Amino acid sequence: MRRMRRQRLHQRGLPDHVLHEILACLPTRIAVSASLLSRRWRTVWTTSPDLSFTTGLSPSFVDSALRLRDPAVPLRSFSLVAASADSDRAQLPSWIRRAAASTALECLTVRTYAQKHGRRLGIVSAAAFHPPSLGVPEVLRLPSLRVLELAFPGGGITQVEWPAARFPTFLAEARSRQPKLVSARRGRHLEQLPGAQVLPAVALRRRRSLARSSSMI
Amino acid sequence: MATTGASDGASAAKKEGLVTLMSGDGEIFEVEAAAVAALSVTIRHAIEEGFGDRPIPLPIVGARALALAVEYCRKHHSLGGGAGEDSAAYDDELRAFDHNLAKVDRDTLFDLIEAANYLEIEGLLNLMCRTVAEMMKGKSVEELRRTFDVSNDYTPEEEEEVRREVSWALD
Repeated sequence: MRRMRRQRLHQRGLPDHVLHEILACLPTRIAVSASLLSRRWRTVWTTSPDLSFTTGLSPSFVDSALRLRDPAVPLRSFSLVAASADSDRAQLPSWIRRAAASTALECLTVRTYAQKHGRRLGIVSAAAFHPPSLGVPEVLRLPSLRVLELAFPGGGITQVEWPAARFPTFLAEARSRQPKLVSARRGRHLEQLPGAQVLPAVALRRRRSLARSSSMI
Repeated sequence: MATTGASDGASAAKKEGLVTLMSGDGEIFEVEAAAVAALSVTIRHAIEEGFGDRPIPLPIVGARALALAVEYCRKHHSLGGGAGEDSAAYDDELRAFDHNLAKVDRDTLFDLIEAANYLEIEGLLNLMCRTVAEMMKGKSVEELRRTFDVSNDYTPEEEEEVRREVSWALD
């Protein structure tokens, strides 16, 4: 009995999809490092459908993770919550486009902030966050999307200035297409936002992806 | 708690709304069908397929894990209506219940993961996977191997190779 119980993560072997559930709760850095545990773990992370970046953002790290994971496994979630330098942020749109290339994408979270001398500053460069360049409208057309969260904490030097003309249109489109998807952060409803020049954060959620049956208990 | 008892054929007369489960180690549980069927896809399907009065065999689920899984179903069914953690119905009591359940010892934790996976109880599986993930944080590879009894089956050369492979992630 004792012997049977040993090596639970390993020999008796939890199936890959369970290991992926575990890795989904961890930053990608730890998921990749788990390759060092044993042969069983060597490639588990590469077939994990979830990527999560939570620490100081290194563009080469995000690039490597996107490049080295198994392209046959579509992304289910992409989360990036990290400090970043101006130069890194230029790459955000391309990462988001790559994440959105997976029609299986259910969750997309991007919350970045600049960091200087340990202090969090607001996002500075607005250009990288134009919804068109972020591919956000395309993201909203993804059939499985359940959570879209873009947050740019205020209180710093600058907040993101969304193009006033474009953004409310895209929110309205989103709302008409997916009416249940909608709530905005900080107690504001999307209806109250049209014309807002400054949008600190938006989080869109719905209970179930469109792809799933709504009759599931 | 689950009622357990002998499974002699004579007492097989079905009480209304109950379903009989048999753990891999042969223990019999009579539980409310509605609660387990709401949370466990596997049991829901078994009931739909008409196991009738026969116990539903759950070969890879031990009695202890099954008792805990049934308790999870019962609690979440009665308090949360089977809804997910992010629903409004998921109140403090359920949160506390989950929190306590996640404090089980390591072997029970993995028994529960296997049970939840087999029974297809999504919430329980997520809860337990999250618990394992928390245990993995902040540990070195050696500490991880010790914590989870993973033996290193790499040759030194292989290990060096893997280390190079993932060096981009190591820091």
